[in-house]
Amino acid sequence: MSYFQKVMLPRIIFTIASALVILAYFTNIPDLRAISSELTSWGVVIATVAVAIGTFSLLRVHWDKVSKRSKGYSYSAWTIFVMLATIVIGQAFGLNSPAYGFIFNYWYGPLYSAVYCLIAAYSLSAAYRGFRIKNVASVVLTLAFLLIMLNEAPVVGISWPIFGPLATWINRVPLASGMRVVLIGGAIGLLALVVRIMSGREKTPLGIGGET
Amino acid sequence: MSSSMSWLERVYNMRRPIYFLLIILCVIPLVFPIKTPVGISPETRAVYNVIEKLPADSVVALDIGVDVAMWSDMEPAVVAALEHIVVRKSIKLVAVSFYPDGPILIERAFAAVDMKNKKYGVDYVNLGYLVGGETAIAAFAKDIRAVLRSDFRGTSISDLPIMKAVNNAKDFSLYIYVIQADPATQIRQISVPYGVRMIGLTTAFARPYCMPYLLAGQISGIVTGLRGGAEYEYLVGLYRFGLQSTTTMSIVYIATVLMVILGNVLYVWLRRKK
Repeated sequence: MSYFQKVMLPRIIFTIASALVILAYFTNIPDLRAISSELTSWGVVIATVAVAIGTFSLLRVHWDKVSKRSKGYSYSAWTIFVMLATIVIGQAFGLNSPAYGFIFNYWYGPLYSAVYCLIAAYSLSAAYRGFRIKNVASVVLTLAFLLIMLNEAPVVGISWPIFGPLATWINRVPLASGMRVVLIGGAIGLLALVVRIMSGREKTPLGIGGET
Repeated sequence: MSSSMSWLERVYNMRRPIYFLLIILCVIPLVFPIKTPVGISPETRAVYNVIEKLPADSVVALDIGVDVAMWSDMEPAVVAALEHIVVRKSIKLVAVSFYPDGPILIERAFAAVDMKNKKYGVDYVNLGYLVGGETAIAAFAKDIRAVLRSDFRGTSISDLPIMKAVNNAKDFSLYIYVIQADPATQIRQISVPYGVRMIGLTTAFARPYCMPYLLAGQISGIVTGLRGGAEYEYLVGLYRFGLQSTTTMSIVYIATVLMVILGNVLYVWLRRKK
């Protein structure tokens, strides 16, 4: 593949498409908005195709493991079986069918929820071992944690309303200002990433390779 | 664990007893439920008031942005919102999801509400899942029919009476986003460009992400997690999983506070001994 096809063409497509969509977002030019609308519709179609490609890639990776009898290949075989069974049942009976509902409600749902629930157990254990009053910063952090936890406990929140205004202040002032920093910092970082991709300095998102 | 450890050190380093304690504390109040009171936060009351003030001819969008793992945290709030909007206020509701688990969770929520005389396709609808993340949200907001041909149950959108007057995001009076993490995409693609008022039903984890938008007025109110769900159930007059869980929440949160205090007492005690 030539350099133009591999590097320049994806960058040109990315730059033109991004510029059109960004301009349409901030202006009110009907033609530009129509083009942007068309491009976003294409995006949905491309994403749908990407799901199909992702499914195929996943099947190929696990099939390779099974065919080579690599370590843990039985898990790959199980993954392939569950994936194909879900696809076949979903296509044959529909996503709203009792058969598909059984997979979702009695396999996928409980398993996924159980994994998530482990976080709750680890959180309590981590809170017990992690919140140690060692210096001023840790005192502030621990006190804020205790205050928020007590206020979130319904019976405490209503029995001792003193916690309410303090917890509200923590949520609305230090927490919100901290999150603003994170959000604005992330947005500026994203903007910088777009400029880097457009200028050809960042090639990883286009699937070409590392930084230049 | 070394046998030379004192019992205090053993308590200080314990892990498994904590997990066991958590299970016991969660299960007992669920098996023997006790009604405990719950205070209403200003954020939950704001959500209730926004819905209460909607005109009767409004159409509300419900976007399920969580996966099934978070559903137990969000289900009470979603069901209470459906009860409030569709049953009590008789306002039309269009549900959609940009998460793969969303459509089935919407069906679960519909099934959990006693819809009385409300009809699917006329008063409420499930448009299903739209793949593509933010691009799909933008495309949906611009022209629903350009990206969706049928609802989740396979009915053509043109055959759904509820969709007659709904073409794009401008046709929604309110956008309810069930938030797993950051609500920025929906604010960026729907709320700001189309001037649609937004409220959030958020997981407890997503609350910090929502606070800057809430304070800026870009989100009019939030119902946070299971606790918020319990508050909303109380406001709507339901007694379901949210209010049934208030005792569990109280016990587990207080236990967490006590564990942190115990951990610090042991830390100071053992450090002095050394």
